[in-house]
Amino acid sequence: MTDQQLVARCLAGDRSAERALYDAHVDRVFRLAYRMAGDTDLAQDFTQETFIRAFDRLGQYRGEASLATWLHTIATSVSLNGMRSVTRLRTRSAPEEELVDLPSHHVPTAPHDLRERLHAAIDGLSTKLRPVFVMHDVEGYTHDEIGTMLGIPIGTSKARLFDARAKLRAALALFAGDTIS
Amino acid sequence: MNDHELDDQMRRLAHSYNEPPVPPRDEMWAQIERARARPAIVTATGRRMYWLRMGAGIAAVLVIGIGIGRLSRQAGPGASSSRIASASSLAATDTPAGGIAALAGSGKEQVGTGSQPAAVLTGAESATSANRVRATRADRLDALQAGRTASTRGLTTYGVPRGVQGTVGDGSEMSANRLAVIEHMAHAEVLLTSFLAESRTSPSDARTAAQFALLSRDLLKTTRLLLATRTSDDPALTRLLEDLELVLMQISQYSSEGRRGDLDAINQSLDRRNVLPKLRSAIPAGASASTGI
Repeated sequence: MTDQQLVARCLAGDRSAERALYDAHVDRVFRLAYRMAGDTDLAQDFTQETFIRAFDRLGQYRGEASLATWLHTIATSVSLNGMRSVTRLRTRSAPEEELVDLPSHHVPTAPHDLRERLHAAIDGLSTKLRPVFVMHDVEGYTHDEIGTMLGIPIGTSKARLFDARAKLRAALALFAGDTIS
Repeated sequence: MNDHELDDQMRRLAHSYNEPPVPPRDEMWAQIERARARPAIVTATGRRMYWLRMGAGIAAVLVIGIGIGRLSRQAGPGASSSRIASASSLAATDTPAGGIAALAGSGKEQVGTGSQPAAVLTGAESATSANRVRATRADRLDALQAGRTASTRGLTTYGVPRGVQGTVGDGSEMSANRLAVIEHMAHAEVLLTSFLAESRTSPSDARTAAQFALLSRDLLKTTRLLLATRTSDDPALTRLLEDLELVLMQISQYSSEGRRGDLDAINQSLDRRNVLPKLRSAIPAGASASTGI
């Protein structure tokens, strides 16, 4: 069954088609949401919100991109907006004395190994660089797909990935050198 | 470790970044179904809220706009004229106060008043008018009382500061008083022109003479009121109003059965005192067209 046929059946009110659509895409959407959030509850919320929005707006799907890309675009938007809200909430609820001591990047002061250091460095990337790095290098999306999902040109996606890698490399270089020596 | 090795290591380790667990498919689907069972209500509420917000916004804009309009009218030069119109619209125009108020108001407000010369009132209409006069006598007294109070605060009867020049056609700011003077002159000019034309072309009948008499009496009252108020501050205007008073008095006493000498006296007064040319030069262009006589 093609995307268009599946969508047509969903629009006709076929509940089994809706479930089929969900089953076909939920794993990838959940993965993306989890990669962005790093938290099961948040990832579940983002995934549910993605499908709720998708079913509400299914009539707007024109078939110009694949259904997966269209869904992942919604998932990216939901996840990034959700993370912004969560970050704001956490910043507000944190006591002032803790905020003063917080470094600009959430880099642990004494990482146990390169993996931890890398994960901390990815967390410390800016809101523009991190999604591109996660989507490309972690989840394996192409620049074309990333451009569509984030609403940016392919060149911008490539440039952001280049910047993200350079920052991560710089963050890891000293630690890697120490490890080798 | 060189850059290549570091990049390879980075890419390999990056896959373990926020490694997702197995998604709870059924649990999430149940949540989605529950949430989708509500949207009809949510959407309807949302739409209602949207229109409520839109309506509230439009209402607020209207209220603010009307408020600003009212404030600016009160603060601006038109304030006194609107006060005159509203305060004395209740009053019948058989009094000088009523006459000037009607003149200062719009043309519609003059309909059915004593300043409407062409309308010869029937008996029933006269009775209605008289009742209205009786009913509004208290209001008129209140209005006059308010005028006296205003005068004690350094204002004239109709709220026009005494310091403002009331010369006609000088291009200065239009005050309510000046507007009343101009309209009065326009009425008078039309009356005098009509009277002259009527008297020179055809012998006047009783009905026409009565109309002219009625009209001139009304204008006479207004003339006297204007003479008694701040217009007397302007000598030229005072002289013109005095001349007009004389002529209007003559016309009000003239009847079709009157002697030919009365008509000659009126014409003589008009010619000697140059009343009509003076009136025409004092009336700004366009004012006479709006009088409705």
